[in-house]
Amino acid sequence: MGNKRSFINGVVVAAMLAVSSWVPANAAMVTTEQLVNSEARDARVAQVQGFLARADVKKQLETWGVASDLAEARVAKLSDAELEQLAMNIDQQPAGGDVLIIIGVIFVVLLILELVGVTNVFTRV
Amino acid sequence: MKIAYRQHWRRALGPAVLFAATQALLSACAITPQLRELPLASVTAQPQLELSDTPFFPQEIHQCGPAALATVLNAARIAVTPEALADEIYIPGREGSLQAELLAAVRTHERIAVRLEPRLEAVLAPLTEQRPVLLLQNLGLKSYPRWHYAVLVGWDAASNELILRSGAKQRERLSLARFLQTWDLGGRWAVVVADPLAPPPAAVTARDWIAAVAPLEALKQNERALAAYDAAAQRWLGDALVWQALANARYSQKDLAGAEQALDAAVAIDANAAALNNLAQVRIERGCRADALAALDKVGTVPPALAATLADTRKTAMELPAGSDAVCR
Repeated sequence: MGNKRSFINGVVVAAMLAVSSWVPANAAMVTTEQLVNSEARDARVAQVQGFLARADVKKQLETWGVASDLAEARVAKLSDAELEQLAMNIDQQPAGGDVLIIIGVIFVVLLILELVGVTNVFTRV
Repeated sequence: MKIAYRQHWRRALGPAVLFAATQALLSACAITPQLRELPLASVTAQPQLELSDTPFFPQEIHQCGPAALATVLNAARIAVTPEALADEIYIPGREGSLQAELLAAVRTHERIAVRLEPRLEAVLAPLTEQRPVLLLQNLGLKSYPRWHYAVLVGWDAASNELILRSGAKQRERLSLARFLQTWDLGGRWAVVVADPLAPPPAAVTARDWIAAVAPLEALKQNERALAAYDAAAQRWLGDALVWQALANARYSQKDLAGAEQALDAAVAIDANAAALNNLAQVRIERGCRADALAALDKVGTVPPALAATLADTRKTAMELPAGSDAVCR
């Protein structure tokens, strides 16, 4: 399964690199998205990675219970920079959802530790 | 053995909790930030402000993302319900919504979400223009996060509180200290919703405005992007990035003369490699070999990410027939 997938990825990368070297005119403009993204990279590499990221993020959304057609439409709306950021660490990204707070012994102890050691909001405004 | 261990624990826990609680109290008493004492231009001008007309959508379970997004979109005159937005941004398996998807959803509703700088004044200032601010809070801990989206709608310097539409609460009043704590733990993420066809909000930077507009081009909303860049060029005349963005939008509309003009303006401010590359490319497409090469010759240090692009552009310029630029100047 994994082998099959990486083989397909390899073919896609090869095909896209081939295609992008046939059309120099468009590749030669530095796009605005490239300009504002802090990690500027070679345009061709970015194009290929964006393509793979879209498939990865779509698959992850489906795993989390988003219907396949909705997931398809949703990844189509993400910018390349957003996709790439999600593809890199979608598990660690905050997913805002709750106002409930579980109050328990562990929570209280952690809260105290945090107040003592970690909290630094009072130093910068 | 077991009992002895437990007693040992109990003996250690008492002083530890006492020490921690004292520390917390001391640090809280020593420097509790006060809205009216901080250097905040918005609060100085208006000690009390509340956007009472901001709509309120009480949150369904786990769905603060759709509720908060519906709040700011409706405030920006886009009629949409949290239920409709849930299909666009809610993730059942995560019981929440991702920031990137929130931004993307705004773009499909004829608006853009512009990031605000991670400073208190930057999230207060939009309210003075009748714009509520969507932000991410962490109501838990750094190591045990409870992510939550809420909408800032006001402040009250006298009581030192901020007012939010949050979850099931239409008017949540948070002390400044608690607000800063939860916002800080949420990575100080905040956005303001704006109409790309209207002038940019006063509190946003040129770069954040451009970053919010740029994805519109990939979504084939080129007219809207062009208008937003035009507005940016009027506001931030001396910013090369704005002129470069405007040039790209004109280029994709096949307006080569307009693109070249904007790139000339960019290069006059900052002769960076990306601007010179694009200027050369536009000149190539106008058939101006000598001018294209002249632009490329002005490139100073080459950023590694642009090396291949610059080489391509030079190669294409060299391939143009020499002596074809009679009409270029």
